[in-house]
Amino acid sequence: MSRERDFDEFYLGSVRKVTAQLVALLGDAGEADDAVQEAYARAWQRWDSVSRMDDPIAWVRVVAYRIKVSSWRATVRRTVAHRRHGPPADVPDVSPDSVALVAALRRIPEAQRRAIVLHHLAGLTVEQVAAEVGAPVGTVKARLSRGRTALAGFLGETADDRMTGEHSYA
Amino acid sequence: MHDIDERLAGLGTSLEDAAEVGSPALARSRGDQLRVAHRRRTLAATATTALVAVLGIGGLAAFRTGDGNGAPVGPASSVTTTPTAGSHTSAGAPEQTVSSAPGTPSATRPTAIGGRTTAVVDLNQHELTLVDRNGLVMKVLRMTGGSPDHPTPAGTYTVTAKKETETISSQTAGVDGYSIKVNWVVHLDGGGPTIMAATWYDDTVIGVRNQTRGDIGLTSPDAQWLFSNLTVGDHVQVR
Repeated sequence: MSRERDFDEFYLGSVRKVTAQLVALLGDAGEADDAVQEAYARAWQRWDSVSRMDDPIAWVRVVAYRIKVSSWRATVRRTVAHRRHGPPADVPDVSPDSVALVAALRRIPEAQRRAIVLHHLAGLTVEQVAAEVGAPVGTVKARLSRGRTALAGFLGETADDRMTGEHSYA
Repeated sequence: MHDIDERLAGLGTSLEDAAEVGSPALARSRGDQLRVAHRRRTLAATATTALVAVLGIGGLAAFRTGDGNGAPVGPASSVTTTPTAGSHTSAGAPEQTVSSAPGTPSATRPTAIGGRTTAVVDLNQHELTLVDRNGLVMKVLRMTGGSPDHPTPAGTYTVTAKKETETISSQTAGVDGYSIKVNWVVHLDGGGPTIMAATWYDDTVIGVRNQTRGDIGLTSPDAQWLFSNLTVGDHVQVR
């Protein structure tokens, strides 16, 4: 019985965070919910090993992301069309600023978006992001920098003037 | 820029508050369904392994090459070449097994899925068979899969990415600290295993037993060959 309690505690303690991160990654609340539910089901399927991991949340997030990205790439055209023309198909009931941010996130490249969401929303260090996405630390730093600049551009802001040495998005 | 940081932090909170969360029991029941399906597949694999053993080496060769539907039954010789089916001692036993498991030979023979090149991973035999889109066996490679403590999840996956070199770390593998550079890496979707050159294992492991933490390891030349013959969108069936 304590196995169930153990899992339920893990689920209730993490599912909101993981769902929020997946919404930001995928730009679609429905897709995020589906992927997150499937990932937690798989976590329960092999709970004995997942529960012993250093970071089971990272496992669930990576599995949920892979589930969705694979189906994404099969429909690249649709996604591209969405990014170009569409407002977010399905964003939960949140503030206009959040909607704008999710929409802007959808417009930047996948790798930059993933770095930004993991670093700024999930609160991972740059090193942890590098480990999760399987890229060198320097690459992640570059993605973060470019991604934030691009985001600022899409949100109608200029890059902070104090940060010299960086090109503003124009 | 600092403004962006703050807005992103706010976005996290805002999305968390808005998240519609199902009950953990729901996730568990779906997980249980997955587990039952997995067990069924495992049982089927065990049954077909026993069947192959009963049919003997002649039958095995016929399945491997996949040439037609010939049911190779040689009762006298198959009894002498039965390594694992100890209970089947009478000459009639093999036929009985065949009739009680209809359709299992087709599950044994590696087939192409969805008209794509398909790698069929047989965890019990420690073999990876690459089948081209027409169902012809291109090559059978020796491999090592997940140990009993970290079993490789059975299922059918799709190749999502290939990388000649990649650093695999404990963060992604979810086990205690390591970070290692590997070559000829093939990524699969849906929580499937990663296929790579496992240079840290030798002949006593690859093709002999399952000793990884869930991923699939090949010798370096085999991994390179597979890497060049599998493309994104092809399938990998683990059973």
